[in-house]
Amino acid sequence: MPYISVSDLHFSYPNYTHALQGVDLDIDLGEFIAIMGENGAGKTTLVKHFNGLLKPQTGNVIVDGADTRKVTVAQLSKNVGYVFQNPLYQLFSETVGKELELGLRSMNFSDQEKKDRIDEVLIALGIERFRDRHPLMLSEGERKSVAIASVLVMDPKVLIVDEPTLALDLLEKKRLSNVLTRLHGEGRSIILVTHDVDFAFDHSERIVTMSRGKILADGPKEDVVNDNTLFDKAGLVEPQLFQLLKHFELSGVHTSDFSVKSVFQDIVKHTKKGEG
Amino acid sequence: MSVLSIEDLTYTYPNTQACALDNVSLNIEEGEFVLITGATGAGKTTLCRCMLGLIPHFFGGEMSGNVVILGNNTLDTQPSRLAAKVGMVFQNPEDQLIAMSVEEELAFGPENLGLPRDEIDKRIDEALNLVKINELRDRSPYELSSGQQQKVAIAAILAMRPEILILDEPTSMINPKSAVEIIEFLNALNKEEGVTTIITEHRLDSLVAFVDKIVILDRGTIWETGSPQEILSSDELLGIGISVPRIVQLANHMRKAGYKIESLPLTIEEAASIFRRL
Amino acid sequence: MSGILQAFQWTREDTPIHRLDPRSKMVWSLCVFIISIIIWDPFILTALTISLFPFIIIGKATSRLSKALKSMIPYILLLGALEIIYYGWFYGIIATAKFVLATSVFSLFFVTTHLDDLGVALNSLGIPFEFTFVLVSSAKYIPILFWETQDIIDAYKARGIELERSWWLKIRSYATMLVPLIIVTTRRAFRLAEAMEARAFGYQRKRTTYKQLTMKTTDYLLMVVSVILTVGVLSTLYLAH
Repeated sequence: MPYISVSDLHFSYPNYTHALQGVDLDIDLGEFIAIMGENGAGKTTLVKHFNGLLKPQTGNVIVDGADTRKVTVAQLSKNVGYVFQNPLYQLFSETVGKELELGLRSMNFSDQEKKDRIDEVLIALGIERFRDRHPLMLSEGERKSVAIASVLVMDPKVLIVDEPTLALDLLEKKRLSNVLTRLHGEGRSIILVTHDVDFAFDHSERIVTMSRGKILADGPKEDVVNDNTLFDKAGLVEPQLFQLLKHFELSGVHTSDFSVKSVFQDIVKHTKKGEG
Repeated sequence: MSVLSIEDLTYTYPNTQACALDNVSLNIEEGEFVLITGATGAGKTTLCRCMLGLIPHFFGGEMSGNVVILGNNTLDTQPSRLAAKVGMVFQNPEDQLIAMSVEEELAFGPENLGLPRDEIDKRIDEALNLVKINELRDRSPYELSSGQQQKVAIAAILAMRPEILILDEPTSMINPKSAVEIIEFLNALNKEEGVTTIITEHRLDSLVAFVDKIVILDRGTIWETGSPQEILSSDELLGIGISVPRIVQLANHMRKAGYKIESLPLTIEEAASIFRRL
Repeated sequence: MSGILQAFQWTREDTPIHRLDPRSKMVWSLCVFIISIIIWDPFILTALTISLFPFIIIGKATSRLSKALKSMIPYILLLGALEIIYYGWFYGIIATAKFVLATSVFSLFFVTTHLDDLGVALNSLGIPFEFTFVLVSSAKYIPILFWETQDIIDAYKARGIELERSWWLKIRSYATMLVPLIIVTTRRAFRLAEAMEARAFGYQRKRTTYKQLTMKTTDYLLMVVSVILTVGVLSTLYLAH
């Protein structure tokens, strides 16, 4: 049974028309899924249903067997962690350490267990040295790590990250990438909401594209990217190397991985074929 | 003709130990399209602020060295005065919007300059046409997408007819499609109208084909300056946090593997033709 | 909560009320406000309320206003209870009605007046630009702040903290949530100030105003009628003594 199950979900904000117009989606534990599309497509609206911040107007959202209408946000948050787009919205405390304590307040751990938990997460995200610093003193990338840490202390089975790569440079993205990969390796589901195509393709096998409150495509990345109406309509730009390969029309190229290394190897293989 | 001349610029923000810029010197000629890039904290935004005189006038701190823009030394001129000829667009589209309608937004700058009403009218039409957002004239900027908002911000600056356009990470918070549109627009503006354009960015994919010069900043100093071809062939860029476009990375890999690649591909078409010939 | 907010937001409609000059609307709504504050006579207040109906209907503000009043019912009832305790049944109900009346006319004003136009109107009355700019900008940011507060509350809930438990917990929580709100708002204020410098704000003392407002016959009519009626109504008070 899928951990998160969405059926025929409709939702409208008080002053906007129909933000979600009939969405169906199933997400299993341990999946790494990227939800992509332009602003206003409904991505954030959709994922806010997974931890109960929004409740369906019609349709159903079942998380861990329970209807989200019947469970509080606080209860859902123990299993579904949400990292907001702007880390400043979710940083309430004077120091990074205190911020992590906040998430553990509602949980029944002994003081020692809490301390261990916090240490663990700080080290895992490489922000141990910021424990006593005020989040405002950190760079945007470091703050984002703190935001992730503050949610991670609750040990959620699912982690939703909303546009985490905005305004990050290459090194910060690499750090984020390592963190997400490790968390996924621990068996957590990662739901990545983003319009950064390269980042999404580097980490996730399954891509969901949205536009105007509807899901346009839902499937493995090679399928989704090969149907350009699905991509273009969602306001996305295809990965550079994919565009290159389209031009180049390599036959028998393993197109699911658009990393520099694998395309390099494919081209080498192809040119050797030509020579030999 | 030099429009921007920076000499030995060193700057430290107030209440900070480490300097944000350390002995930076840079010269930009009229009509150039310049890209300034570097990791977070390298000093890109700080440098932009120095160009408009926001440093030192708005931010304070300790500054030494000279910044002369269009003949004005920023130490002696207020930013609002410089703003008449030097336009600046910021990273966050929503936070730089001042009015409740796009029309008013575009009028704000010219109003501040004291231009007569019919001139303002002309400028608004002109800017809307240039950026191709005529249909947004009566809309509220707050109901627009981030890409549209950024286009409005650019139009609002263009309504002041700047000679130099500085954009500080203009596409980092907007969707990719609009980002590409905006970069293509800026290129057209630079090539057709001759507006000197200085842009700082992380995302380089569409930019490298258009810019005349790339300036790499690393921890407050200029690491290297040069043409895209010169700069992008370096191995060390990824190590200092520069997002080299993947087709360029690919070409560099191939060069190292012994393939003959004369000039680095800056667009996908160039890359396709290079690789086809191999 | 957002229903109350929307009652004070401009709607993109083209009604005769929308087309009225902000200055005439200011005079009119001020007159209504003054009467609603000073007068206790139920007949005059009823007449005043009825006089608002054509404005509400023509200005297409009916659904907004009714939604806002609906979401305000708990507060109105609370206020009503206090007023009744203080004034007794009869005057208590009148006091509550006065409050609703005053709120409604302000709602009508903001629903039919674009904030930028309000700014221009205030400038034309001689109020310095800096002051009107601060006023209009603040009004503009109210809905933004509202939605941001919602986001911050959401983020707080998503930390596993049950907000519904006790009054004390709620108050303590709101204090905590103020922190991000203040931080975000301060940063935004800085960025706005930078943007204004980049638009040459302060370039010279004399700045032009692009938008022009012209008073038409209907505007003068509205103003004159409002003032005459107000003076008339207030003088009945004086004469009654």
